[in-house]
Amino acid sequence: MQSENSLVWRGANIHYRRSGRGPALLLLKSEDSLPADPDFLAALSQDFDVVVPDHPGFGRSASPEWLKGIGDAAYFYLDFLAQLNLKQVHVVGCSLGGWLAAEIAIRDCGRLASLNLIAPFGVRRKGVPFGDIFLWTPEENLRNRFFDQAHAERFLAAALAQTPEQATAHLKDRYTTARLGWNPRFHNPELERWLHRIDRPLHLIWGDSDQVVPAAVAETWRERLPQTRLTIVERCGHLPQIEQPKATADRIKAFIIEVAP
Amino acid sequence: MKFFAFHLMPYRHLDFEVADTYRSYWVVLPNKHYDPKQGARLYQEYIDQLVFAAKVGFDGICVNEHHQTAYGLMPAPNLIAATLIDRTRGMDVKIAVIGRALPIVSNPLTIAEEFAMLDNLSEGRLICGFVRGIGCEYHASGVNPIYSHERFHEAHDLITRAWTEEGPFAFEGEHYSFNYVNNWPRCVQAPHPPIWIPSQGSGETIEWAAAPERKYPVIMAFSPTESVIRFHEAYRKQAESFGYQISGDQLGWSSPTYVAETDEIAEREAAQHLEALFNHFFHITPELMFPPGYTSIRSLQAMLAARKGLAAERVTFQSLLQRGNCIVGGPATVRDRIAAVHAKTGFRIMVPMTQFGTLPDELVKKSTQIFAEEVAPHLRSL
Repeated sequence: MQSENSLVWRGANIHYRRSGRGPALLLLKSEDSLPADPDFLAALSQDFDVVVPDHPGFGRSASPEWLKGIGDAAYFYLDFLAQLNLKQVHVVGCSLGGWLAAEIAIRDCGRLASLNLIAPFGVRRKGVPFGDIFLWTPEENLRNRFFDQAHAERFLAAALAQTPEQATAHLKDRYTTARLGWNPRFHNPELERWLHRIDRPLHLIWGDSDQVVPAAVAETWRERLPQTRLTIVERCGHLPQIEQPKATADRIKAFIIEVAP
Repeated sequence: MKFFAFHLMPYRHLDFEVADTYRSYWVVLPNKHYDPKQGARLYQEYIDQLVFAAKVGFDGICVNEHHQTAYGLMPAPNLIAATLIDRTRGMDVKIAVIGRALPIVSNPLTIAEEFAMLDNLSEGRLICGFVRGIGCEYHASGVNPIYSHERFHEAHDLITRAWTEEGPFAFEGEHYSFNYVNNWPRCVQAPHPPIWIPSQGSGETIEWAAAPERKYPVIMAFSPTESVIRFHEAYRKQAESFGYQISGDQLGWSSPTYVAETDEIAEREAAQHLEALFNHFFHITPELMFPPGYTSIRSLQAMLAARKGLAAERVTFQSLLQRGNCIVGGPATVRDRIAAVHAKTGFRIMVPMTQFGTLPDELVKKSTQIFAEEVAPHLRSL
């Protein structure tokens, strides 16, 4: 059972999708406008009450006046969890969504149970630059996100068939992505300084061939948070949740069962 | 009508075959392709060309700002302006910096200070252009293009207040905040140097520039003649909606311009150099040109749909000539082209780009001289 929902928060309509039963799981999406992989979502929904918001300024959610930077989005999600009265929430965040999850957690882990971050932005490693998604063409943006180019081909074909409304929606996502991550480019120096405030089990999942956020960035996270579990996914790019949806969901579930039985 | 010679100062010694292998001539073209020996000579050549224009009778000479590109070697145009001021000392010639990119600096007070210094150095001959910079500048500077418009307007307010209000005062903005705004020196021109707005012709720019408290001249650059006329008309209508009649001194047209003895000679001499400008130096991808927020989503889609992004496709000299992206011909042809647009819009600021692309020194000077002697004098009374 899947339901489409929305709530109005400080004047902005926020859309979220909810599916499955079990402990609460907040899935914070990546910035790439790609649809959530149905197998990934289905696998998580078997065991969890999965809440998938369209971030403020993305998808079907409004672009609120108050959204100026990543911190605004993080505080929004603290309020969002309170509004839905979700407790003991397992957070899964992908790319920009992973960055958001960390920003939420350094502010207040009170409602959180665990974090699974897939190739998160937010923390940089000097000498390991992020891919420049604002310089890349739309085609490069797809190809450079995948190890297996068959996935890129699939989404390229879909892009050719997209409606003007979809094109506009993707630009809206891109504009909000810039708002949050243009400068400093997809990282927040403050986040790195306060990473130690994440006092919940943390699992990083990273494709070994990630060209957007190279897997070497994980080292900085582990230096700050030595208890972090790191899973490197072989023959995989920036989006393990799409390239290996079932396996990635299984890894997340296994981690959650292990740390929060 | 007044005439202002405009220069981009391109790095014209570039090997295009090599440069074409890169994504763009902007931001990502490695600077190993800049030879400082040749570049240093170019600065002298280009400065001499502008001083030459001043000497043969142009009313003003113009420079502008771009970053990290072979398209123009003036990341700091005020440095060139300072040199030009000294080289034209005692002459009745304007020095126009069109313009400085306001949003990409973290402290716009430096722009207020530098322009005030130039106004003093030139004893009141300075014209200040304010721009947002093109999209590439946001990749080069790191400034978030989402806030480009906000920062432009706020920096404009800060700079004009610094020039006109008694300091020190505090400035409390969203992007810029200062406890002390207290410009030393003050401007020579009262209330401040003229402000020009070079534009690609967006409706928002025209509406803002035309507001009664500003009435800033807008300089349409690089556009086909049809668009220049349309945007001049839009400015006229905007002024009328604000309740005043526009003056031709508020309307400018900037275009690569080449004059020779005859149409045939002019076209033969200019063709390859204009194609170099449009097909090489303008080689900018949509991602570089239109970063998110630089334009509204709606404007972006309209531009992409119309394939109006610069260098969307290779162009030939003949197509540039036909669309009026340039003015090329013998003296009579060039006079007629300018007079025809004047007849339609009444514009009175003509800004010929006297050097463009790879155009070599001797041709620049020849064309500049013919323009000053056989074109401008016939149009001055317009």
